[in-house]
Amino acid sequence: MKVLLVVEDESEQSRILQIRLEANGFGAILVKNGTEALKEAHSRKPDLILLDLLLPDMNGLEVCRKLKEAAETRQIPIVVITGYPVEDVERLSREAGALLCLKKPYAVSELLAEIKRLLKEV
Amino acid sequence: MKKREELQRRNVELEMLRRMIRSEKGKMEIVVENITEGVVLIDQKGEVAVINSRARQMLGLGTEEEASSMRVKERLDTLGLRLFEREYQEQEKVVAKDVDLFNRMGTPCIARCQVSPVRDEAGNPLGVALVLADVTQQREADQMKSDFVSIVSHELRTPLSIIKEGVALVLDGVTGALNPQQKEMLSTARANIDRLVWLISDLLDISKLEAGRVELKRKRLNLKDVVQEVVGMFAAQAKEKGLEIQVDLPAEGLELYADRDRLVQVFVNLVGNALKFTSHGTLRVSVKEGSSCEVECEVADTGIGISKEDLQKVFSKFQQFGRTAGSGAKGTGLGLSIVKQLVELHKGKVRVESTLGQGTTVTFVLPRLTTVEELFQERIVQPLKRAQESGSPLSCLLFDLKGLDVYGKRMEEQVKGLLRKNADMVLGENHTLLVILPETQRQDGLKIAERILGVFENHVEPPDAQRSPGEISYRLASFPEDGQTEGDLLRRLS
Repeated sequence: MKVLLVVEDESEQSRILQIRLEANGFGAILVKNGTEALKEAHSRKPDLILLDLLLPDMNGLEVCRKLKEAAETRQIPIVVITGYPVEDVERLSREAGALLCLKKPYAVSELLAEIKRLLKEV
Repeated sequence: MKKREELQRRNVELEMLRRMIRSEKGKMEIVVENITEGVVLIDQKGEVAVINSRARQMLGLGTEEEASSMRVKERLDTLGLRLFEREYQEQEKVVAKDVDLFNRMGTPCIARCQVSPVRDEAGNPLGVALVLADVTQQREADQMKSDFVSIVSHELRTPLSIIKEGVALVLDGVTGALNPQQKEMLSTARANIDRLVWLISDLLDISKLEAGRVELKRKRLNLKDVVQEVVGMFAAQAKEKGLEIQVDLPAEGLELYADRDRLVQVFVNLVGNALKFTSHGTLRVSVKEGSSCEVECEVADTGIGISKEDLQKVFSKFQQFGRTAGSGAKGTGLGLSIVKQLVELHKGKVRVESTLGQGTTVTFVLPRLTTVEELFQERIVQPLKRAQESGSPLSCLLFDLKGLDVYGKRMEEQVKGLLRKNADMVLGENHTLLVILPETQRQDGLKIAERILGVFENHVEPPDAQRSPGEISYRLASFPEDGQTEGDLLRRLS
């Protein structure tokens, strides 16, 4: 079973996402901040990371960059999810190493399709 | 004897006149001195004729002695207000600009500077008047209002998206099978959540538009792609209602200089409306070349139509006329007023024709490509401001590409490849290409220009053609060497 790391500080949101992912045959690890995200990414080696940019302890882009710098986590595909209308957020995400940037509110079907596509590619 | 009396009488009259003039002059001075705005009057010789104490305060020029013509000139120059230049003095219109100055307490404030020419009764120029008004509070209030709307909108979106996903989860049967009634109720809930999401995003858009905070990200695009994308979005919905969407556009499409996302938004609103208020017949989306370098777009339906009285109010906010007529025809009532503002932001025009019971046609006309002057104004303001604030250089290149057979996507990519990320380039009317290079000195600007020319020359067929490179020419203007304001730089380029 493919396992996804969901980095999102709104726990209700990530819980709903978890149910959705599990219904589609994926496993989900939920974390609420950047520090935990880095820790879990290193210890559990998820197959894909869903990363919210607005985190309580650090900028999501920074988390993204750190994951891409470390040899053990470099190859894990990252999908950035953002609710804030930051200028150029797509470009910034790509520069930080994310494969894809989805803006909230995204369609769940779209997210699932992209996850499946990315996991097949890797 | 008589002569002397006459002379005396004249003298008395003259003295009275003098006193009257002095008193009138005194009154005017008191008025000028005491109004809340700063006033500066500069005569044709370039001397400061009048400067009130409020203006001295705002410009930070202390005493009257300090406010010599020289000092005032220096100060205004640093603010980019070149009142002493003849050209400025001879222009017709009033120019307004906001700059950072000081208020009565000596603390920083935002001042709106209005510069207007002064003429005598016969229309001969006498000089220029500068009026400085403290607009700090007004600006803060505007800022607060738009900040409020945007924060509220974003804060509303998070809980809404959680509700939406939660409902969708149950509705999709992920948590178990639903009976028909449960399914119906949750579907209604989902449809209304979507409506709320739309309302919030429309509100956010209209508040931004009204505050003048929507900046168009214009680039060259083909209308064909835009129309096809939008029609594609509505295809399923139209089929469900048994309607056909006809598309009528030139085979090769039509090129336009516009903000793609905003244009999509305009079409989505119009096609969405047409679909909403039409139950049988056809929708037609057509695009054609209008007169004088314009594009005419039309969205027509055979729907319920709008009555004559309502037609006048059609662009006002929160107007919905189809409410009573159809079920499920719910919207925000903001769509058309957003359309109007977006079209007008593109310097276009929109109109509606409708017959009750027969259908509605919305037509909007957009200018195609923009003049170099307009392009320049639009693209230079931000980078120049950043350069001025950070004290870094800035260079602008204007290429004349008439000597080029084609300027295609591939060439554009190659030129882009030569530039840094913060550079900007855009194509204008008459085969001109404008390139803006932030943080680039004149010398480096020249080097980049030569490299870009190299790209173009590679594309002149055959590769080692007889053509001289002179056929593609360019001009360079750099900040700060060639001037401080966008006007200075533009003059340098044209």
